[in-house]
Amino acid sequence: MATDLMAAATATVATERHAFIRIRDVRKSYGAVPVLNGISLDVAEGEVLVLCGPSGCGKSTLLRCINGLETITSGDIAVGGRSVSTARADELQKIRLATGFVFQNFNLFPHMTALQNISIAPVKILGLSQRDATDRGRQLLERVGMAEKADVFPFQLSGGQRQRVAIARALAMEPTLMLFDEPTSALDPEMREEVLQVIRQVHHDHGMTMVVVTHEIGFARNVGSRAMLLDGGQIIEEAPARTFFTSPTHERTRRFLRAIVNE
Amino acid sequence: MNYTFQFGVLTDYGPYLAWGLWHAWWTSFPAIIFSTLLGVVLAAMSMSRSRLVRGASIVFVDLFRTLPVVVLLIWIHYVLPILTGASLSPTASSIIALSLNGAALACEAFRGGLEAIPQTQVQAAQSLGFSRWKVMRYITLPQAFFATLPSLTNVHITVIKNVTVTVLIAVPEVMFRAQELTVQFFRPLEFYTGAAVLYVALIWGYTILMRMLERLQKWQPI
Repeated sequence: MATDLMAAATATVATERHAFIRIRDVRKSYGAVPVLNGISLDVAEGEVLVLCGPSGCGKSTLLRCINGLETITSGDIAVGGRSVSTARADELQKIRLATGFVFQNFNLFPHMTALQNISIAPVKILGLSQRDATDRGRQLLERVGMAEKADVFPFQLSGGQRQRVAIARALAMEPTLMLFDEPTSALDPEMREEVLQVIRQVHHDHGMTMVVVTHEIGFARNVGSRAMLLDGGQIIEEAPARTFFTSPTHERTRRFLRAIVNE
Repeated sequence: MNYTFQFGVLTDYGPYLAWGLWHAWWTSFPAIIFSTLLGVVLAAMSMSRSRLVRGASIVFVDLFRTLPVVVLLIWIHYVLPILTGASLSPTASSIIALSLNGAALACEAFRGGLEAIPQTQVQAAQSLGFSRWKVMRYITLPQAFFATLPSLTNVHITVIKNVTVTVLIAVPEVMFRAQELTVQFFRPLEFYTGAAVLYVALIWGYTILMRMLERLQKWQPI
């Protein structure tokens, strides 16, 4: 009995230590409208968590809460051992420094060239020299296949190209965690693959922790280590990515997966 | 109408009249610079999280937007010395009055430009670790600048036009000189028409400069 307890305690300590993101009973509402209804989950270091769910299920909100772009109503979120929910402005900034966020609508800075978009934060936030940041920017543009577009403004780029620059911009801060908020859903089908390819590459090269909100089943199955269905602000099903997409246990998950396949 | 045109007086006194443009420019140009800088600060203040800072900006804008420029000018030039004991030159008083009024107008122009920047730009910058101040400095203000330029040009034109009221405290700009010459030679039509042409030329030249500045924008909003 005592050994059982000991074993259980050690196991808890072990998961606590490896939980890079720790979310406990998070609730969030906009006024009287609840969006997240008590979400608890851990994401281990190096893990790729895929979040699925119908629109309005709270998946994007959850992602934004992890980065402190939204404040939660109750519960706690910690990233790398630091609490996001109770962080002061400067602490929150530190957490964000270590977190890359890729938006559905890219949100590139329109008044800067592709290269400037990537180098501005390393210069102004990390204090890199302009030259080092430019070098880093050019390397990253090369990695996302955009080397020849360095001096082009965002309005001159296609959606897929914009998203690749946005990914490079996030990588320039050398984050330990990447959050992707439906990175391909604003793109034409042909452009989706070029962006997914870049994300696969990033995962392959860095093995960094990722949380990806996406409906790209093929991608999620290959890259994702775990997948989760959110509905009504709650986790409906959680399973290893392969099992999740091939043999989901909940009827809600099956219905959802059928719907996106038929899309 | 039995007025005999004698535009010939302008060949003799035109240069004296035109020299008034120099004074008009050196009164309005500093006022343009001050009102623009102060306008940016006021607009940034109006976006502050502190109610006190926001309130200060609103009070300033409402006060100097509603005060007629003539009243403001006279008050600064004749009342302020009574209260403080320090008297200002006519040009200094004019620059202050025009700057205060212009800043209130410029603030509203910048506020409009800043509010037009989508919130997603702020979030993108925040996610990269930008502080509120740096978001404003590097992301929202530079974008708002170009969005604001056309309305900022209007503000600057208003500031330049307001230079004409400084005639009341004897700043030797064009209108003052036109009045002076008219009293001397009884040729109001010639001198006031000359003043009109000179001001139109000055302001028109200024708008051309501002349009050139607008063309420096190489990017487009997306």
